[in-house]
Amino acid sequence: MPRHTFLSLLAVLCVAAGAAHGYAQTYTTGAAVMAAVDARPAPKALISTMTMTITSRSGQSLTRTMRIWSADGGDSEVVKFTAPADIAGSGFLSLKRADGSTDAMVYLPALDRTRRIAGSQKQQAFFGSDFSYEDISDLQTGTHETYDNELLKVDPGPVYVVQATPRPGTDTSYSKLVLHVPEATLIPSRIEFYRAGALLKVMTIGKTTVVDGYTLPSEMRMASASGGSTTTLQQSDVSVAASIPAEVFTERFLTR
Amino acid sequence: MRRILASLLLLGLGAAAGAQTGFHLGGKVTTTFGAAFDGTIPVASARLELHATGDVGSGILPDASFEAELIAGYDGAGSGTDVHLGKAYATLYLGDIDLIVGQQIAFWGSTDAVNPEDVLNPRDLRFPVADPADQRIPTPMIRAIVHDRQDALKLDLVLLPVFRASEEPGTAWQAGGTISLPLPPGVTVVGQAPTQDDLPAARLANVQFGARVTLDLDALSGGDVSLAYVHGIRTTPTVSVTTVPTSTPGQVLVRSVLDYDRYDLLGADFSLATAHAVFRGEAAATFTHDPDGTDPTIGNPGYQAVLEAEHTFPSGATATLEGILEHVGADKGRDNATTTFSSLATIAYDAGPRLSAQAAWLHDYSDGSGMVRPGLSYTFAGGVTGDAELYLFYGRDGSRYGSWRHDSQLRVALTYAF
Repeated sequence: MPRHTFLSLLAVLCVAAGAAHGYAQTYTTGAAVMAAVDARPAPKALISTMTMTITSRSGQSLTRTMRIWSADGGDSEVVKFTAPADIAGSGFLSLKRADGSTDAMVYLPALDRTRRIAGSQKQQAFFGSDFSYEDISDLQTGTHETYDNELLKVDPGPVYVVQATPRPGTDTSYSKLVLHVPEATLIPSRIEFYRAGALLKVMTIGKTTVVDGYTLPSEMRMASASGGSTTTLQQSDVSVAASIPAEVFTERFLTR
Repeated sequence: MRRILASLLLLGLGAAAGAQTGFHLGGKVTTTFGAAFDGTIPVASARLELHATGDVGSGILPDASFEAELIAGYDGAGSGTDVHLGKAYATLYLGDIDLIVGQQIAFWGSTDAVNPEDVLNPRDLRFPVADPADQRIPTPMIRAIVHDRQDALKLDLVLLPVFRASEEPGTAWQAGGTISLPLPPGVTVVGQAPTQDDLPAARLANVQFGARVTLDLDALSGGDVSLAYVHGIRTTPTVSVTTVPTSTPGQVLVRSVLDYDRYDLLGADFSLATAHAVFRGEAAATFTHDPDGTDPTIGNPGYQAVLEAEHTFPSGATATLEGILEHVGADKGRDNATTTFSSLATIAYDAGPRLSAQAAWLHDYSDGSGMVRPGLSYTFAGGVTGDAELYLFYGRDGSRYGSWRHDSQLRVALTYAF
C-alpha cells in the first residue's frame, strides 16, 4: 500500500474512532494540527521567572531560579540565573537567525567571559538539568513549519498524536518528536523526543495559566526515558509585553 | 558629561532621588586543604568573600550598577591572615557606552587556560597552576566599552593609572636557575644584598592603556574576531643581578634586581562555532624597549599563539585540544632564543546535576615535562559544592614542569555560596 494511501486511511479511521467516542474532531492531518498549534494566539514577548527543580533517581532535589526574556515568538531568548548563589549570574543567550540556525552563547561569571556553543553542544544538559540548551531555546518557540507532521492517531478528548520529523536543514538534534495535542488548548500536553530513532526523554505540560488572554504553560516536566532524573520548570511572575528592547538580546545584557 | 554626572547622582543618591534601586548582599565561604607528595601541607585555609552588588534604574536595563568585594582569608600553612578589597567598581550605562571605573578585572582573549592577550590584570601566582580565572587580581582601571546598536561591533578602551605587580610564586615553585655574573679578576662574592624591587612609580609615564575591537561574524553558528593593542608594563619582573661593593676592596655582594618591562602588545583572537565544534585562536606579539636583547634588565621580545578546538560528544562529554607556541628572542650576540610547543587537552563530563568530572593534560614537547590534573566536583545542596583536584607533575629535573615533581598534590575544597 502506498504510504500516502495508508496515512489517508489512518486519518479516516482516526476520524471514525473519534466519532465513535462522541467527540468532535476538527483536524484530519498532522499538518493541520500543527498549523493550528502554531496559529494559537501567543504573546510576541514574554518575561517570566522559572523555578527549575532537578530530582535525582534517589529523590534528592536541587532547585535553581532563573529569569527569562523571550521575544519574536521565542526566537530571541535570554536566561539569567538568580539563585542559588553558586550559579547566580550565569546566563544563556539564544538568537535564531534568518537561515534557521541558532547563535548561542553562555556567560559564566566565575570565568568572567562568554563562550559560544557549537550546534552539537546544544544537546548538552542545561546547567545539569534534563532540559538541553536546545530545549530551552525552543521552549517558547511554537513553530513547526520546518517539520513534516504526520497524524498518528486521535485519542479521546480529542487529543491528536502527531509525529513531527525535521526536514533536512532544520536546526535540531532530534530525529523526531511525537506530540500529544489536546484540541481544547492546542498546547502540547506531552512531547516525546527521539534521537536516532530511540526515545530519549519525555516532556509533559502539567499546568497552564492565562496571562492577558494568552494561555501559557506554567509547569513543564522533563523525564529521561532511561528512568534517571526529572526536571520540573515552573513559570511564575509572567508578564506579556508588546516588545522587549533589542539590546536585551545581546552579549552586553547577558554579562550585566 | 552631564549624562555622566546624572548617572553618578543616580548611583549615589538613587533611593533619595526616587529611582528604583536594587541591592544584593551575598558571599562565599571556602575551606581548602592540600597535601603534597613530599609530605608538606601546601594549603590549609579558610576564606570568606562578601559581595555587594546593586543597580539603579527603572527599566529593564539599569542606569548604573556597582559591585564590591571584601575578602578575608587565613592560611595556616602559608601566608597567614589577609584581608583585602577585591573588585570594587561602578558601571554607568550611558546609551551605547558602558563606563566602568574602579578596581576590576578586564579579560581579553578567546581561548581557554592560556591567553596571550590577557595581560591587563596582575596575577596571584602563589599557586602557579591554579585556574587562570582564580589568579586574576582586580586592579584600578577606567574602562569604556562602546557597543553598536546591533551588537556587531564593540570597542573596549582601558586605562590603568597605577601599576600593580603580580604575586610571585611561593618558594616551593620558584625555579632554582642561576644567572651568570662576569666578575673582574681578583673580585670575589662574599654575600647577598637585599633584593632591589624597581616597582614603577605612580606617574604619568607609567600609565598603561589598551584598546580592543571586536567584530561579530555572521558566519556558520556564530563567531567573532578581535584585534587588541596594549601599551603596558609586565606584571612579573625581569630578574637581573648586579654587584654591590663592600668596605673591603675586591669583595662584593650580589644583588637581585627586579625590573618591570615596558612593552607594546599587538594581539588578535577569534572564536567560531560550527555545527560540531567551536574553534578559538589567539596570538600576541610583545615588543619591548630592548629589541636587540642588549639590556639584561629588560626581557626580550617574543610572541605566543594558541589554537583550540572544542567538541561535545553524544555522551555529553566536552573535550578541548589546544596547541600553544611560544617564542622569546635571543640576547644580542647569543643564540639563546627559545621556542617551545605545548599542548593542553581537557575533558569535562557532567554525570548528572550534582557530579561533574574533568581532567586536563598539559605537555611541553620541548623538554618532555608536563602536568596531569584530574578533578571532581560535587554539589551537596544548592550553593554547597565540594571539589577535589589532583595535580601531578612529571619530567626531568630542571625541565619546565619536572622541577615541580615534588609539588604534586591533592587539594580538596568545600564551598558554601550564599
